[in-house]
Amino acid sequence: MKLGKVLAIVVPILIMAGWAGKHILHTSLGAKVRLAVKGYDPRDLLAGHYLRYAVEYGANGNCGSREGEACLCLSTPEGGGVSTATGLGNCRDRDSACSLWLRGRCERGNFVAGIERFYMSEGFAPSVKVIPPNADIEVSLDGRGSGVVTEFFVEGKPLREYVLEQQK
Amino acid sequence: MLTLDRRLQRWVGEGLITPDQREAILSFEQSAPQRSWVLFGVTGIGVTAIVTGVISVVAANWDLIPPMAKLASYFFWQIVLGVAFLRYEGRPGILREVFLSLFGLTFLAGIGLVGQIYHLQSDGWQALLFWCGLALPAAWLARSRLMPETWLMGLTASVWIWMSVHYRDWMYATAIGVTVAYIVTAFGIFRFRGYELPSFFRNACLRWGVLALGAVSVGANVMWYEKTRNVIFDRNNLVLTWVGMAIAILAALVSRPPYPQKAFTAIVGALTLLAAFYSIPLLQPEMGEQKIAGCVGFVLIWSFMAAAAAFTGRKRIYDLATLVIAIRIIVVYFEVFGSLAATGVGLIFSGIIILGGALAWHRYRTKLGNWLGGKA
Repeated sequence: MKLGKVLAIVVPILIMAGWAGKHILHTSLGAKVRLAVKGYDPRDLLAGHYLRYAVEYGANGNCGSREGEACLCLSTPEGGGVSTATGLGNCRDRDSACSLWLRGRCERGNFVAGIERFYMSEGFAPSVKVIPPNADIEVSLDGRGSGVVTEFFVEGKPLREYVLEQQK
Repeated sequence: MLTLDRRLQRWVGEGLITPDQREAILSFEQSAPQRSWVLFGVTGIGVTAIVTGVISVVAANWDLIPPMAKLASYFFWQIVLGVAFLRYEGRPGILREVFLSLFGLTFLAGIGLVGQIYHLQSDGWQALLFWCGLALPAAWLARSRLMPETWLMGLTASVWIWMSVHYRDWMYATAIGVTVAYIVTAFGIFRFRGYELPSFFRNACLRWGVLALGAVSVGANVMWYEKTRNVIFDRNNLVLTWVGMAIAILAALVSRPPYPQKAFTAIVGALTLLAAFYSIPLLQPEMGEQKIAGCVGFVLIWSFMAAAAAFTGRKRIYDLATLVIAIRIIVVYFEVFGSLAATGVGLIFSGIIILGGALAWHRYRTKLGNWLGGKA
């Protein structure tokens, strides 16, 4: 068996494993923050089984006229709870005192960070036709400010738990 | 085989080969292992159905399974398919292709799975491009059309989605799309002393590259004609496209053994023509307010097509191209002298112009075609 053909099989699997591993490490080792969310539109059925929402960063998270890459500094209240933005600016010039920060982009006045949707099971759809009030997400932040959604909460309960209660 | 037999018989009749050579060629072709294309086709459909099923299962409602179990299951099957391919690699039969195709296509399911578990967001083109990277070895090693064609389809879809995401700067997005299509075509054209893409992959590159070039050129024409009613002279975008075209022509130029003269002319003619269609809209009505300049641009593009058709002996395309040129020249007359043509004298003069155009087209098209064909 030629080494080239073995490598043709092994290398893509290793790359795939590295990519999946990166996300596993990100979600398990990253700093966790909770961010409030609100619905801006009924769930877009064409997007698949995803809840789509806008993240509420507070008054200091507005992009204004800024466009392109931006970083948001986040602050969590003592004792935990939903985090809010303390400032938004260039990623290069960000405040070194800021320990929790999220990298994203300002697009048409809104800050987006790739955390604006959450996969959910088809069976949940009848209970979550729109984003319920008092909803928030848990996001894991890595050292480069990249965020990955790890859970969706409604009234403090994980989405699955909330839906099962609704369906009773 | 029947077609080959008929051709050989004709060649013998023309004195190109001897009857002994005909027999030798026939016995060689008959002794070569035959592949059942029906079996390959049915197997291709089966593989596609299985992979579609796997993707559906991934996308469906299976939130009760822990994420790690899903990932472990995916990697288990990915490895099993890879090992199965390696086991059947040297053996004859169709299983090699089945395992290789499944191995390549299952990466798409894996990307979907990771995206689903970690709620990843993308416009879609990033995922497809990532898959293209992972599945490239499978497409490369394939000995059937399924994987190379699917791979090129994935690349085309990825570029197309990227273009639609960047719709706000359509000219730039189209220029990138055309350039990628040219480079893919260049990969299909290039050969150098035995170093070339595997045949199935190479043919797929040529097919999809030229198809994408044609689609983008015509699409850009229609879109720009509607949007701007003007030519697109964005220098940076045009330079990008023409660099892409130069790469494709260079691939034909440096190929060894060189392409036959007619094939080379056809390649260069087609690539240049596509760039011309892209650079100046096909239905060019005017340049700014200059109707005659618009007509000249239009005639120039269709002349390229007429010349390329004449060089390669495509008579019908040549006739069509010259007819279109004749009609366009008549149209510009009405565009420029539209109000005058409505008068009695104008109508008589218009009739003479139309008849003269038709007569000139009928009389000179064959002569011109023969002259161009003879030059080739």
